[in-house]
Amino acid sequence: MNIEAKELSKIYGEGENRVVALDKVSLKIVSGDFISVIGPSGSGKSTLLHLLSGLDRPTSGHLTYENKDIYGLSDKRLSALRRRRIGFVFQQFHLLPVLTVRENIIMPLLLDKKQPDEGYLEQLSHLLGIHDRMTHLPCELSGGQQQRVAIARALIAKPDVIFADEPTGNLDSRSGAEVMEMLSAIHEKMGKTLVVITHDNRIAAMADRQYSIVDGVLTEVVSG
Amino acid sequence: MKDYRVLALRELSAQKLTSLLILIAVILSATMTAAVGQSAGVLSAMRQQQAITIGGNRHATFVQLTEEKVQMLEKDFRLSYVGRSVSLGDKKLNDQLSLGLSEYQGDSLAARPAYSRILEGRLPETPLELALPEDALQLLGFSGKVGDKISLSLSKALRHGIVVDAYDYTAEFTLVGITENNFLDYTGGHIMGLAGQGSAEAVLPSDYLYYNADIRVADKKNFQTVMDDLCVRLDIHELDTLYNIPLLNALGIRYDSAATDSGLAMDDSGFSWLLATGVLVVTLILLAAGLVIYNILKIAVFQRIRQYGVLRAIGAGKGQLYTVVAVEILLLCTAGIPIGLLLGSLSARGILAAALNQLSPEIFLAQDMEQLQSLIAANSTGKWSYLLLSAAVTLVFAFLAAAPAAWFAAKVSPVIAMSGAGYKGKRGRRKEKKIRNFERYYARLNLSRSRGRTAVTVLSLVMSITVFITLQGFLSLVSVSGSVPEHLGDYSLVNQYAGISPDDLAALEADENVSTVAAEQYTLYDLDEQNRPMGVETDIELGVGETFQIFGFNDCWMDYAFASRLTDEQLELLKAGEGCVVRNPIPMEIEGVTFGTTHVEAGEVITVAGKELTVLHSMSGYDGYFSVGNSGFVNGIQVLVSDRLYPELTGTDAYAELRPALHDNADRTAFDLVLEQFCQRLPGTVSLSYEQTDRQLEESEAQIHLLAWGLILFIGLIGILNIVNTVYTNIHTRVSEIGMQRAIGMSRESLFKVFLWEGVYYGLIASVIGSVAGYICTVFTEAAVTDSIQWAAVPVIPMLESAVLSTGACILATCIPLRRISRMSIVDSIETIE
Repeated sequence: MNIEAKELSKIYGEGENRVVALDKVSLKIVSGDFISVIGPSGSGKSTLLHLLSGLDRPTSGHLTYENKDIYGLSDKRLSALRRRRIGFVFQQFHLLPVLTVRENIIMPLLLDKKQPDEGYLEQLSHLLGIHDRMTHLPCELSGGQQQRVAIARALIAKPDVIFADEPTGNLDSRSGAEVMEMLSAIHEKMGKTLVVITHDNRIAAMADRQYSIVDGVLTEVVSG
Repeated sequence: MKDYRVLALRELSAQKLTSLLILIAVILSATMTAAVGQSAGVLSAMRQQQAITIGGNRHATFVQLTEEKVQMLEKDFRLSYVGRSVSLGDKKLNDQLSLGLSEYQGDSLAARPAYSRILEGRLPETPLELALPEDALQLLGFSGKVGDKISLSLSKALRHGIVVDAYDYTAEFTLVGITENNFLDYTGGHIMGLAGQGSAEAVLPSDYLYYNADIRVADKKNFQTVMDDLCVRLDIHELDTLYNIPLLNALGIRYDSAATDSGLAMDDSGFSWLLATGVLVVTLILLAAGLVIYNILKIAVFQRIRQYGVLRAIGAGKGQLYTVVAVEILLLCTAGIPIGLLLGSLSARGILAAALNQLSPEIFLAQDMEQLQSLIAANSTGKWSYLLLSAAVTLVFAFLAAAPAAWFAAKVSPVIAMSGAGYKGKRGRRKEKKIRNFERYYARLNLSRSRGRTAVTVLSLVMSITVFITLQGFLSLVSVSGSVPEHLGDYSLVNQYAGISPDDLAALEADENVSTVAAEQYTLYDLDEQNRPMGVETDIELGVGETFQIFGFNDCWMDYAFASRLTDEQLELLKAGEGCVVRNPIPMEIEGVTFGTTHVEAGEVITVAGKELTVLHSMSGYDGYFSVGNSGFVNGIQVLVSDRLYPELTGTDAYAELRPALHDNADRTAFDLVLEQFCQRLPGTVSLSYEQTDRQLEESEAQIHLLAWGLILFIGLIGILNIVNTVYTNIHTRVSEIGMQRAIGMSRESLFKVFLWEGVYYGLIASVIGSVAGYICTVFTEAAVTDSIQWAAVPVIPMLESAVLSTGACILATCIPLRRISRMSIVDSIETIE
């Protein structure tokens, strides 16, 4: 799935309080890309991810998925797009504490009134090393395990693109490395488009294309 | 898990306290709606049953129909029932009462249950067989038994246009049965007897054989249309169409005719009053419970806001989030409503009995409270439609209360929700003051930082306090109005029809248990077109809409009524029949025209029935009035004289009411037997024991107190639910803040104090607002009783009580969730993210 952002801007407040979080960002993501966006705190990384994934709307600019402007979609159709074609991995994991690991993973399918493909679910859980934790509650898992559950949730609906917002930010270095290896493997083996937001240079360097963002301005980093 | 909606169940079981609080609120509201709904169902059934007792199970009756017309009615598919009868004629029993004889054909008597209750023998079946009520036989002077012949002279009247033509005849019948007396007949002045089938043909000429047809219309919504059409098609005169108003009202059938069957229409005001009170109470409870549900659910949703954000991020639509919250409330309602309905149904009978005790049993045409209670019991079987309605009302209210929370969950932005937006306070113009008591100061700040939650909690408490103060005022009014009154005598014996003779009075006075008997005579004269009383002459010039009444009192009644109003000399003159007291009419204005302006002053000389009487005393306005039994004041001039003079003025010496008083050590059981025989001997006599009515009054007052306190506790409990929830939530949402406070050295005791101060503030703020609202409601409650709005005395004691109780309840409700703080680890609290 090709994604194209044209001059996306996000401005908060007015007058003296006006803050430009994102300034006319343009970006093309081709199907199968692995893109990283690096930048310091408050640079606009997360805002960019929220806009690219349709979680938030820009002040100006356009975003197309397969040449269709997604900001013109109704909430119902936008929700369906997120369910079916986009996967999310968050820094804080954001698992639902009252659901088991299995239930957390299959939730996007249930929201789509579908039942999981048990074979695929088993394959995913083995791939992510959580097959023996399926009946556990999130609070019974380590941070690394919780993030792997979040990755499984992001993949269950077989989306075209995965947006990862600081996926290792809440993990120790070992767990963080494991998670990134998994995401990288998923990109390679499953051919998923991967967009990772990070402030870690090592993680950013794992991507095919690297971007840097400072004060809302996005610049492609040309590796030398 | 097969469906995302199961998430609702998981959320409920995860947040046990929240779920429990909402469940209790649902149970309480369902209990109350079910209790009132069930009561309404019982009332409605009682009303229908009584309506059938009064006027029969028929919507209307067409009278004086030919055989042909009756057959047309019987073939009309729009009628679900047609029952025919023939009137054989009437016989006058005395000035007030007549006996009507009717032959009910087929099974048409089944629609008239009040006439067919057999005491002895059986119902008549063949021509010239007869069944009469016990009192009719007494008034006929019949001393025989079932099986004896009885000769009746009857008059069969037929109306041709407006001309009435009568056929008089005498026939000999065989008495085959004695039916129960029907006191309701006395109101219409008509006692009903039954003749066997074929009697009419045997005694009436063929040109007097006309039928009455009782009908029920199949499509109740089109009742009037069908009736109008029948009248036109069958050419039925409007005077020959009698609507059964009580049953039509009870069934909610619309009609637009002013025609009534008889004077037996039920007074519906009592029913409406009860229903309105019930609706008010239910609304109050639902509002209070709705506030609890709203508050708790809103807080619960707020706590889970990050989860809802995640759900939105992974593709949940707004509708799906709305559904999750709606399913939560649906699950709680599924669990709570059946419990509430059960509790409500169980308590409905008691509530209804207590409420009805405040009304006269006559509203339901029951003779006394015991009969009314048995009527309630007979109609208290499951009223499913009302239960379903109660469940639906509770469900709708619960959903309405949950709607804002569900809407809040649905509209959550995933970005904001997941970023976990913290408290955003506004910088107010806070004065820099020296903080004397940090806990109190911090409690005040906490109240103002969650204003919505504080407002809802205070509001629910305010409702409780308002109800408390208002009901206290109401109860004090009930206590005043319901306090046992002083009676003349221990019993009341009333017979307004044939009256009680002086010999019967003397016999009663001679009874060994009787100390005194006060006696009252009464004659009411309507006015003719020239405003002159019909049947007596007087020189008093009366006005339109007035009546002329003459009362005669024996010495005992005279002493009771006039000893305080007259001098000894005047009283002696009154007793001797050498003067009178006049009670003037009460002036009233109807549509701009003033009635009841006739006024007679003390000292004037009036002439009644040719006798000149000096007016010894004149009564006006609210200075008491005279009546027979409980019949109330009939507006007009009341000339009050001694029973020595009364026969000379009216031509009759019969008494309308006796009030026997017993000796201190009298045998009440023996005297009750005497009275029973007395009433049997004099048909139409109704006796009343003041000892019994006083006891009922006291019981009724106790029941209404119980009911009011139940309501106070009910609403109070709902208020407390809100406080517990609010404090619990305050602790939950401030866990990391509490941990930090503890870390920087705040003691557990100090933390407790902050929350307890919050409780105290809730109680105090609510007390002040609730007291003002309660006082306003008290003013209106008193206005409803006295019919005039005036400043009521400030209910200081209930206000203080409510302040102490609500503040105490707040502190108590705060203590329950505070246990959580005592178990909290500082490190865990600080590290708590969600």
